[in-house]
Amino acid sequence: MPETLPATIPTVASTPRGRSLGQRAFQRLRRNPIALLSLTYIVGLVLVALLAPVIAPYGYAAVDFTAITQAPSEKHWLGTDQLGRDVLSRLIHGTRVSLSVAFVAQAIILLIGVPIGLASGYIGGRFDLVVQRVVDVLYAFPSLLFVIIVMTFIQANLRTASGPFGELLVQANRATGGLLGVFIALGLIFWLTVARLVRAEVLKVKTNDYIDGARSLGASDWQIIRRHVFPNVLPPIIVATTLGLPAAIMIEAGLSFLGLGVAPPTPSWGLMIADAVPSIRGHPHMILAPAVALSLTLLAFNFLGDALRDAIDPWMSR
Amino acid sequence: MTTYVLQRVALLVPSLLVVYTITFFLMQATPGSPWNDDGGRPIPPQVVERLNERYGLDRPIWEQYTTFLWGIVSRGDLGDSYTRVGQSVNTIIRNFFPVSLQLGLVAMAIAVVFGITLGIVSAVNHNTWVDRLATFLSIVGISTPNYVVATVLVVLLAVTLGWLPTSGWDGPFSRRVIIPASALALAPMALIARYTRASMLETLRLDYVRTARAKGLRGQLILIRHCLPNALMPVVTVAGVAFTEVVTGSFFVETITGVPGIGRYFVTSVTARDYPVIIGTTLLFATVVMIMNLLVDLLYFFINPKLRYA
Repeated sequence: MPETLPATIPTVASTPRGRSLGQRAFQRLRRNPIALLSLTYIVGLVLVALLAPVIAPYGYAAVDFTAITQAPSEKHWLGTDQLGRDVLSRLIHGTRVSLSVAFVAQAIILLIGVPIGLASGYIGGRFDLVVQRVVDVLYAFPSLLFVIIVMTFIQANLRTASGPFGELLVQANRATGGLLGVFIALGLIFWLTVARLVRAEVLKVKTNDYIDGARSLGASDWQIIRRHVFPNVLPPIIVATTLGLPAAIMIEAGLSFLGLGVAPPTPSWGLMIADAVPSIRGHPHMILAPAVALSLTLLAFNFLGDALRDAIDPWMSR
Repeated sequence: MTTYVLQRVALLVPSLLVVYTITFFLMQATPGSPWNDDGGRPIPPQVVERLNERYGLDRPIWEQYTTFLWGIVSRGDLGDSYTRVGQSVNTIIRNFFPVSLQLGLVAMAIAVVFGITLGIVSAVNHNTWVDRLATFLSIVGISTPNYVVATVLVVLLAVTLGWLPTSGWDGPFSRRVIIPASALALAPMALIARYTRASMLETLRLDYVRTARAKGLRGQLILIRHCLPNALMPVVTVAGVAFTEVVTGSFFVETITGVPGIGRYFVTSVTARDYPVIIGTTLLFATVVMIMNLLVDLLYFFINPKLRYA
């Protein structure tokens, strides 16, 4: 039976289901109680970070030598540390450090990784080969060592920075509690993973007929990337970013734990854990609070990222 | 196949050269010198001059770069440590790296055994409470940083209960290894469990498994002889990556539990500007990463007949 072409070609937007991948993903996410709980926790954490000076009962550096290493009480809900500082207040201010590292570092990673991955996968050929060699070589660099070396370099240079641009950097560093080095170091090494991921996805998408179709209809490369390639690459990027957030938090806390991260008295959860280690026996509350906060936060991001992956994965929708 | 391996091996050298170059110039461009120790007694300028002369730091940067490189290439000599007087970096690596490696191997053994078991149990009991609990625990495992695990274990097992020593190192088969190795093992264990579960679930659905069942083979035999080898393929990749992370990322745990490994040494050498130790450690770790990646690729090749005969 010979079929005639329909008068109007149905557009992609009007699939029978009438709902976009994003909408369906959100539907599935809403049915996952752990994901919702995690999302609520993260939103709450962001609010705490934004409102830190208002919520915190004391200043994060307010020393009270009459109340040293006190157990939790009505006055100090989570007790005080070895300098008589309120643990709860430091914990609250610490959310700013953790979240800013997570989001700023991820932003830098995306800004470098996504364009390079898109270009490398889309253009292909010799350009792709060169980019892949660079990525391969940098991949051999042990990432934590790279972060530590680059961070030391940036921090030492910030101390001697001059000129208008240098001044700006020094101020930016002060505003972030000495974290500028951590941001940049994390961004400079972890874009590799994103670039690889994006490239692999682009290579997959590129083989689809609708790309050829778009090209034969006269779409420019830029239009094809923006309208057809990028939207398809977006879901894995979202998942990778969500799972990258806890990784950045974990590394910052680790570096601060070793005394390489934030500059005291800026409270970082990692620094609080390190400070509490010597008095672990007599005053376990000091270490418990930041350790639990850190683990819960990482847990929430990982649960959310996991649920997002399941929600976006087209295989799961069958 | 041989060409592929040779290509990969040939790529090792330029990669290491790039790693060396980046590390060298980053360290050089970092203000400060190894001799102005913060907080210590100020060193007289004559002594600084003498020290610079002794370690060749008075030469132009390019000369330092090539001299050091030539030392590595011609004699495998990574230079002398600035902070540990009279010790070469080679000696330091020989003394400390085996400890990190042994600790990493014990940790990985724990991670592989428990991770795969957990993954299989999860997959076999798919969508029951056992599976949900195991999945939940594996996300908890991935989310808990190893320095938190190490601290908690020290507090719980060593300080409060007094079952284990708090710190130190007596080789890979002593009681002292339990805390640091468990702390290091948790994250890779969780990761391996997740990958094993996922790929086991996929394998269990395949036709040949159904055939084996139809033939009347015992369930456990099917699981171990037929499913596991196939299901373990993606796990090999994860385990390889996890191993390099355990070996090159052990410095948090080493610092807390007082294990004299190379990771702990690296941290002190960065703050002390001990250039040769930093470059030596970085090159060593980079080599470990690259060789491990190569091994994983080769292993993948050997356990997957589809790739071998293609």
